[in-house]
Amino acid sequence: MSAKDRPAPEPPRWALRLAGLRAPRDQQEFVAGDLAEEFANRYREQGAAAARGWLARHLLRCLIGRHPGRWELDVPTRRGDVMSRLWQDIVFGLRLVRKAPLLSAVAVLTFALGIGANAAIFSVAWPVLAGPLAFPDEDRLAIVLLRNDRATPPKPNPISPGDYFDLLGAESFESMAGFNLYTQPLNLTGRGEPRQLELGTVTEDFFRVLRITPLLGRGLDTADFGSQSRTLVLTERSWREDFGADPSVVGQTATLDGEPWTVIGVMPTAATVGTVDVDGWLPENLSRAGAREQRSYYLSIVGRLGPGISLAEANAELDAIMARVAREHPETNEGISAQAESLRERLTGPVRPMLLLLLGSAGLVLVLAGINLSGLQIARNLARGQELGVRRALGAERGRLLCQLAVETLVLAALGGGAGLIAAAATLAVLRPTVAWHQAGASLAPASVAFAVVLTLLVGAIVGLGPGLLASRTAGLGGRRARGGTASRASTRLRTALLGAQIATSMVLLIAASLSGASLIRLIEVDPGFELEQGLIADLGSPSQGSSRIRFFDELVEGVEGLPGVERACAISKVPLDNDGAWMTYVAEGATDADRVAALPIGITSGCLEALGIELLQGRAFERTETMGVALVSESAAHELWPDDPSPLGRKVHIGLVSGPLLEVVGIVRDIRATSLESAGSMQLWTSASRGWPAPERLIVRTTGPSAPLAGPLRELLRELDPDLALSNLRTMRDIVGEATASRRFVLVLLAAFALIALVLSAVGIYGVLAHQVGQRTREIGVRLALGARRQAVARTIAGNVLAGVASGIALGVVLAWMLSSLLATQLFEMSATDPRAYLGVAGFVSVVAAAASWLPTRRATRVDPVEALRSE
Amino acid sequence: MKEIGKQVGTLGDFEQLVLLALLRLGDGTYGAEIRREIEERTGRDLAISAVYVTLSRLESKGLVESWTGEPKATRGGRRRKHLRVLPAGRRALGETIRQFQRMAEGLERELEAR
Repeated sequence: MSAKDRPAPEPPRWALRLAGLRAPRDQQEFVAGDLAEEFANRYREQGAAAARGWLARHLLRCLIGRHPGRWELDVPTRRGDVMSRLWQDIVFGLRLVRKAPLLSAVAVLTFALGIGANAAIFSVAWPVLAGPLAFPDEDRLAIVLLRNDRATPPKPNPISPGDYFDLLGAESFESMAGFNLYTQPLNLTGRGEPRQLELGTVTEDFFRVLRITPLLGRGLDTADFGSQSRTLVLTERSWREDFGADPSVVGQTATLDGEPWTVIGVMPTAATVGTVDVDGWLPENLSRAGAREQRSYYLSIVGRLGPGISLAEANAELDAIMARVAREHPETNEGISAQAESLRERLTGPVRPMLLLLLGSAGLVLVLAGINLSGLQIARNLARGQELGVRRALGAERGRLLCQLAVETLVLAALGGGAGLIAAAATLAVLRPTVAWHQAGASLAPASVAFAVVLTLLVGAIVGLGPGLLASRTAGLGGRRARGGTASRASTRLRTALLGAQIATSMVLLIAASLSGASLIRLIEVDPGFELEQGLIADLGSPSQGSSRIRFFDELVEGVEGLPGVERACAISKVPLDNDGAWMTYVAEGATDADRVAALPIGITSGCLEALGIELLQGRAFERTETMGVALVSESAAHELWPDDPSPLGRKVHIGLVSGPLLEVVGIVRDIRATSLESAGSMQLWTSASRGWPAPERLIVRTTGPSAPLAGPLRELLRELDPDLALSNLRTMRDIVGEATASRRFVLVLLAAFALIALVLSAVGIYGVLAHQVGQRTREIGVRLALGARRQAVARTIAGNVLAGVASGIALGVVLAWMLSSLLATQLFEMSATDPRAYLGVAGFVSVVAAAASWLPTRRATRVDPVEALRSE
Repeated sequence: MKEIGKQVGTLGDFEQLVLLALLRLGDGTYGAEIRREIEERTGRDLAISAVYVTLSRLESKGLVESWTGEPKATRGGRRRKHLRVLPAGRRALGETIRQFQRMAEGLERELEAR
C-alpha cells in the first residue's frame, strides 16, 4: 500500500472550528473544508508530523495572523457577527500588547499582583469563613464550656464530671456528648519503630452527635465502656500513617503502652475538627456516682441543638441549670456559669478578625492596582487620540469603540489574572506550612479560581470603561488633533486625584504593616521567664513499668546528662508554650474553698529549673530523690495564695479544695509564660515527678553546643532503658516559639508584602503622571523658559500639583488609617493601633519615596532646551 | 459609511492578491488553490479564514461571484465554493494597478537599488 492511498485523518473538530472563528459564519464550511483538504494533502505527501506542525502553525495564523482590516474602507462587518467581532477585538488587543511590550508588561504585572494577592487570601479565608465543616446539619452543633465569671475578663474553663452530668439535663439539645480536652500520648509498639499516638477520650454518643459515619468498622458502643473493655477508634490519618491503611485493621490488636487494645473502627479525620486534634479515640469512662466529688476540670461538651432552638435559648437553659448547681454546691460553683457557642464560631472566631484584615488589605492592593491601570489606560488612550478620532470620523459608533477599548483592557486583565492565579498558587505553596495552625487546608479550590475570574472581569471592565468613556468622548469631537501644547486639564486633574487616592491606600497598608511589625518585635522580645537557646525537646510517653516510674526517670535523666555536650536534662509534664495542660484549683492551708486559686500544675524531675533557665527566687529546687509532698510555687500564685506573706516557704497548700491532700512549699520561682507569649501572669504550681500526675512525659535537654547531633544517642539510650518507648516530635525551643508566633508572622509577612506592592505601585504612578506631563508640556516649558522663566519656577509648576496630590494623599491616608485602626487593634500585642510614631514615620517615608519618584521627570523638565522645544513644532 | 463601501474605491492588499490569483487560476477555482497560488508566487502564507473574509467582501462589492459544488470526501463531506471574477472586478483591479503604476513611474531605478 503506497503512501498516497493511506487514508488521512481529519483535523480535530476544535481545530476546524478555531480556523473559522474569524471568517463570516456562512463561510465556515468552506474554511473547514479547505483546512481538511490541505491537511490531508500534506499528510499524504509529507507525513503525519509535518502535517500536524503545519496545522498548528496555520491555526495560529488563523487566530492572530493579519486579516483584512475591519476599518479599512471596506464593507462593514457582516450582520452583527458578534463572536467574530469580539474575536477581532481580542486579536487587536493582543497585537497592541506586542506593539507596546513594556507598557503592557507593567499593566499585566499590576493586574497579576492585585488579582494574585486577592486569590491567595481568598483561598485561605474562604474555607474558614464560609466553607463547610464536614458535619451534616453542622449549624446546630455547639460546644459547651464553663465560664468563670470571677476572672477578669471571664474566660472559658473546662467542665468537671459533676457539672457535666448536670449539664446533660439540658433539653434544648437533641443530643450531647463529652470529650476530654487533653490528649493522652500512648506508645504504639509492635508495628515497626515504636511511635506515639495522641489519643483523646470521648463519651459514648460523641460520633452520633457529630453524625459522622465510620470509614471502617464502627464507633463506640455501650459495651465499650466497661472497666475491662479496651477498644480504640482510629482517625483516618493515623490509620494511613501508623497502620499502613490496612483494610483489615478492624478487629486487630494495637499495643499501647504495653497493653492490648482492639481497633473497632476508623473515623474520618474531620471528626477532630472543633474538638481536639488526635490520632484516635478511647472511651471516656464517666460515672454519675461520685462525680460531684471529683474536682478536676478537663471535659468539654459537644451538643446538637434541637430543631428550631436557638443558641440563645440553649444558653438561657444552661444558665438556669448552672444557677441551680451553684445554689446546691456554692463551695465549688459560685460564680461559675456555662456557655454554649456554635462550633463554627469556636473554630473561626479567633481567626476571623485576622482574615478580614488580610482580605481588606488585599482589597486595597486591588484598588491600588486598578487606579494604576486606569492611569495607564488614560495615558495610552490619549496617545491613541488621533487613531480613535479618525475612526470616529469615519463613522465608527461610539459604543463600538468603547466596546473595543474595554475588550483591549480585558485582554490585559485576562493575561494578568492568569499570571495572578499562578502567582497565588505558588504563594499558597509557600504559605501552606504557615497556615497549618488552623484546620483549613489552603489550596486554589474552584471557588478561588471563580473568585479570581470574577475579580478579573470586574476590574478589567471598570478600568477599561472609565478611561474608555473619556477617550471615546474626546474622540467624538470630530477627530480633533490631540493637544500637543499643554496637557488636557481634565485628564491631569483626574490623574492627580487618582494619585492622591493611591498614596492614601499605600499609607493605610504601610501603617498597618509597620504597626504589626513593631508588635511582633515586642512579642519576640517579651521575657517569657525561661530560656533554652541551645537544647532539645522530645516527647516520651510513660514508661511501661508503672511502678518503677521514678527510677526510670532518674535513670533516663542520669543517662542523658552523661551524653557528651549535655549540660542539664529533665522530664516535664508540660513544655512552656507547647502542649496544653489541665488547670487545677489550690487552696492555702487554713483558707476556705471560696479562696481557691486556679494554677497550672507542672510535674517535673529535678533539674528542670536549670534546664529551662527559670529563676529560683526563694527556697530550694527539687532534689534528685524528692518526696511527693512538696511543691514550687510561682511568684504570682504565691501572692494569690498568701497575699500577706512575702515569704511563704514551709507553708502548705491543698490540691483541689480543702478536702484535697497537702503539699509543702519548698521554693518560690518566677512566673513563666507557660501557655502563650501574649498572656502574662499565668500562675504555675510545680510538683515533683514522683507524684505521678501530671506525668512528666516530655524530655528537656540543655546542651552546650548545637543539639542536632544528640538525636541519635538519645534514641539509643531510650531503647536501652525501655524498648517500648518512642522518642518522638524532636524540636527546639526556637521551633516552639516560632509556632507560637506563626500566625502573627503570617499576618506581618502578608501585610508587609501588600504594603510594599502598594508603595511600588504608587511610586510608579507618581513617576508615570509626572513623566507624562513633562512629555506633553515640553513646548509649554520651552515657551516659558524662552520668555525668561527661571528653571526652579518651571520645576515648581510641573511638580507642584503632583506633590499637592501626594500631600493630600498622605493626609487622607492618615485619616483613613486612624478610622480603620480598631480593625487592626485586635491583632496587635501591647501596641496602640494609633501609635503616632508609626503614622509619622510612614508619612515621612512616603514623602521621601514620592520625592524620589518625582525627581527624574522634574529634572528632565528643567533641562528642556527652549530652542529645541520650539523647533519641534 | 455604507456609501463609501458601495463605491468600491481602491482595493486593499488582500483583495488585490486574491483577485489576481482568481484571474490566473481561471473560472471555477476555489479557496485552497487561491491560497497556494499566492504562497507560491509571493511567499505570503495567508490564513484560510483571511482568504474567505476577503472573498466575501469582494462578493458583496459585486466584484466576484460564487457557486457551491457537491460535497467531497477529501474535504470530510464538505462542499467547495467556486469563484469567478466579474467584469467589475477586472475593472477595479485594473484601476488599482494603473494607479499603482502611475505612482511608480520613473522610480524603477530607485526601487531596484534598494
